[in-house]
Amino acid sequence: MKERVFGMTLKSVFRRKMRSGLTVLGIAIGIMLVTALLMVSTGLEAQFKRVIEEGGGDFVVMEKNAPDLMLSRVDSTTQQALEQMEGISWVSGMIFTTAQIGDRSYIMTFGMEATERNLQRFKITQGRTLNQGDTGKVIIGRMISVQEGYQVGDALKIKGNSFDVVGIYETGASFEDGGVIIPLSEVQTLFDMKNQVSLLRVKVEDSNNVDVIRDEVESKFSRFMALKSTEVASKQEDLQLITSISALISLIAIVVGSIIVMNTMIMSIMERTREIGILRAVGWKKRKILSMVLKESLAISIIGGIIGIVIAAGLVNALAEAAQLPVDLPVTADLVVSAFVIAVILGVLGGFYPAWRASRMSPMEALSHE
Amino acid sequence: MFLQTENLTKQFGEVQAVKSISLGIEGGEFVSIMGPSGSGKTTLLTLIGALDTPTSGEVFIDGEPLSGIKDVDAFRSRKVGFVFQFHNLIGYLTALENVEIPMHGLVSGAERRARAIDLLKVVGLGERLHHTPSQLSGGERQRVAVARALVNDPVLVLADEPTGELDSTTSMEVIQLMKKISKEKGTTFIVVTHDPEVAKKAERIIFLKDGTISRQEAVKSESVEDILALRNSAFGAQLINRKVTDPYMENLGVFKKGTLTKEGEALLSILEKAESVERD
Repeated sequence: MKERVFGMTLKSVFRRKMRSGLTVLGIAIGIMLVTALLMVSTGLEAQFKRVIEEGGGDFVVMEKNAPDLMLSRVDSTTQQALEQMEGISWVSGMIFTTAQIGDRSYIMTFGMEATERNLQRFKITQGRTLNQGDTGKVIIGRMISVQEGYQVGDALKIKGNSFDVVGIYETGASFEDGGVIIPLSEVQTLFDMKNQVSLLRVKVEDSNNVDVIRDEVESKFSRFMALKSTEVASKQEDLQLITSISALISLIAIVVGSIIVMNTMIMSIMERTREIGILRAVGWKKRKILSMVLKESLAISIIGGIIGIVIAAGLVNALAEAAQLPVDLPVTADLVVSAFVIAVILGVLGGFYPAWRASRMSPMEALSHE
Repeated sequence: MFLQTENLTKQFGEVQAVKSISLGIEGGEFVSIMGPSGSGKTTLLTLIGALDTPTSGEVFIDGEPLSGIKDVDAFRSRKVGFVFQFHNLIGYLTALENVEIPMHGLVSGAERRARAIDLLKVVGLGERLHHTPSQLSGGERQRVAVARALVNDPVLVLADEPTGELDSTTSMEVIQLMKKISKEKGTTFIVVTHDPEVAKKAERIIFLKDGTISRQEAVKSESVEDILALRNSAFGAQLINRKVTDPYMENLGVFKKGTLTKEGEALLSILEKAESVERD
């Protein structure tokens, strides 16, 4: 019985193929935009989380007013002071920056000590990892190796200095696989960051004390903030901006989409006044008419939503690939659910008024409509 | 009395479309309503079918006042079937789906389908189940509408100009179909029409004028009409005048030597009775 009712809904929706098709297209474009932006913001957020989280450590210390991780500066005296603090097991510094390598600008460049725990999860596929005391050596990600054709033994020019590629690594995260790792001290010299790092990762002795120690660190070092890995992304201004923009665009998509759906459904019920009269005459209740119109608007918005999600998934990844962007933008279940929910909200919002109007028509007046 | 209206009145602004109509219709009766445009025919029909509410007065169906019914939608879907003149069917649905519509929410999908197929067969459209209205002729469309009106086994079918858009042959087919169903199922039919030929197919014609019943007329049966025609023929004249002018009458055994035989007397008595015998 459900399947037949659904069949009637689809038949009714596609009675006016052009109009319904255009409405579906409008919704698809809106949902595509929303999905694409959600993909970018959740993808970037996930990468931040991964870099910070997977090397171990309970929290991260970075500069309070830095709009971006790459612009954060934490000096070595702070590192030393933290290492002296009671309850802290270890502290390790890392640099995140970008550099021009060969013809390519903005290659993710990580500065790490050879002893850095984070380095252990970078799986070496060719050559070797960085050793303590290495100078003029670099290990590079699989993606950049493939894209630029660099091999173990090649020399790379970074900021005018020559580095020998000693190994190629793979982590599975494009953010990392599209970058290079240089010993920390050399990045500090190269980028004029003597005794400075982008962030410190801190491991606490007793995991029950993480919050207490974080508070202590923040009160002791007022220039810095101590963040859990999940909080880091939310403190990135550019990421916040992307998130806010996607929220705003989602809102606009909902409003515009609802108006489009409403317009289509109002036109549809006006044309079908007599049909509604017949349905009322044969005993359909007001709420059945209401649900009929709502089902139709939902069908339009859900079809548009699905098309939008599929296009976004294909398009965003194709664009990222074409532009050789070292980012993973996976279509997660959460993301699909969010985009779908937006499509449903839009269908309900756009359909409710026409549905209500249709259900209020008197059968007599509707029947006498020519 | 199956259906009764008591001082039924409907006012639209200044206009009184139906003026204090009191009417009784027996169960299973086939009634037509005639009258000029604006005489209140359709309004009366919509009041009886609970599509609209009267300004005053009451409609009783099986002794139950319509004003006392809480769920008029359910009443309409279970007790009343409607056949309209224009755009009667939903254009994007097939004949089968159109007939199924009144059953939505009342019976299961499979039963809905089975009943709709049965009824479409009854109205002679067993081969046209999956045609949309635009693929059907006018007569076929009205048959679908009749099937749809009957699908929930209503006690009352209200038809508003059901043959308004049909040619005379098709009109007769559709009206005969309705009569046949009325007779077989005992369903009461009220048919609003402009067409005197269609109206004459009913058992009774109610004439409306200016919102009131101007007169009612029982329709003579076709057999009575035939007998009356016989009475007015040369054959009938000889019987009535008891005077044979055609020797062939003697051959038939109606007259013998100029006087009526026993058979002749019997025939004469039928001719004399015919006019006074009316069905109500």
